[in-house]
Amino acid sequence: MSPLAEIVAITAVCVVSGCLGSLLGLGGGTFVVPILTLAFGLDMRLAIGASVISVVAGSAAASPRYLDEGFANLRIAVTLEVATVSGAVAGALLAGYLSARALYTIFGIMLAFSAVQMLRNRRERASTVVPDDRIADALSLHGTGTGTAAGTAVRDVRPYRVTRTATGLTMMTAAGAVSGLLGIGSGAMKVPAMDLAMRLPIKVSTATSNLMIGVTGAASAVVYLQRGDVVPALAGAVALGTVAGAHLGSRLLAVVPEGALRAIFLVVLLVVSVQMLLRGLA
Amino acid sequence: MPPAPTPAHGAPESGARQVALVLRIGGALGAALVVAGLAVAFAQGGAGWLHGSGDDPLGGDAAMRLSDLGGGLRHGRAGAIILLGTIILAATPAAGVVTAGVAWLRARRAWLAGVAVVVLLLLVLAGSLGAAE
Repeated sequence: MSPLAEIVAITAVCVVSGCLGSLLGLGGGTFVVPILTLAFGLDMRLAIGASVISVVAGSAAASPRYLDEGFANLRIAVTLEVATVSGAVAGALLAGYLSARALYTIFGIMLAFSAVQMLRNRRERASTVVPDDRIADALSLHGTGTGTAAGTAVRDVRPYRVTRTATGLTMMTAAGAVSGLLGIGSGAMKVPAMDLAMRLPIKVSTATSNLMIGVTGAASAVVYLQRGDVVPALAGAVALGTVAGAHLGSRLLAVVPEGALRAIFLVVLLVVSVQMLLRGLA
Repeated sequence: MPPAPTPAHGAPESGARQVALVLRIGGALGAALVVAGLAVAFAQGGAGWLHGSGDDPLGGDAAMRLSDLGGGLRHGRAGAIILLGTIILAATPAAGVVTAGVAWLRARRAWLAGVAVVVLLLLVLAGSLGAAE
């Protein structure tokens, strides 16, 4: 394959991964690194460098629409970023002292547990009363989001209350630490933290995670750019494809039913957890 | 301190519009530079891109560091233009946090503005730790 054909193919693949990444709040990295290394035979280090750029680019492309439409909650995103970035700094400092295999195993188990919890909780949400939370009240984290009425395509505006902010912050610190330790995005942990602990609607969780991963990814991007792990043509092709896909994904979020979004997220979460467990236990 | 009011139904929250605008501008500018850089790269080495002769534009030898940016731009290197685009894309979310902090400060939401400042300080710390690695 000529370099031009390779660049066009990479861009096209990244349109799909960017769309899924922005829709699920995972960023494109979950899909981009395996595709670049396995399908295109590219060096892992350069694939991760391009993926980090793609995560930030995808977040910047999808988030404006999410903010305009009220899916992403800016106050929650910035508040939780304190925990995520702190965790990432701590993780980066600890990176030399912990075995990567053990970390992959722990991460895989945590994701599998989150998937099971999300599966168990999917029917309980409507009837459960959300407990009051002082931190959420003080920072006025509660908000409104748009949803689709069950069985119809009618969109309505629904208020939601945020709870267990302290638990969410703790889970976000863990997510950030995993990011710092393993050099991966942690959208797969951020969405369950907001969905399970803080009881945010799934669309608010994925859109807010999408906004957050851009901020966390920016710190990693600086490191990869400093190290010289970024090939401009590769990063450019990946970024362009991801931006186009993220625009598409941000349009789809409004129309995809919540149940379908949750089901897709669960499948991806299970696949990622198996992938992590295989890396850890292999 | 009494809790600040939650945004009304459908009303965009304080700072959201400004942050969305900053993200849109940063994203568009970064993507435009990436496209321009790729076009220049193709114009400079089109034959190599089509037939695979010469340097591999996707290989490890084509990697650039942040420190190569200034020199690359001065010499009109396509890679440097793409790198500048990716740097703008990478800096855009941090610019969004700055914008949110300023908007919250103007709206007299001191706690949230303080949280935004803490996030920015942590980002600077994370960046400097990474650079020192």
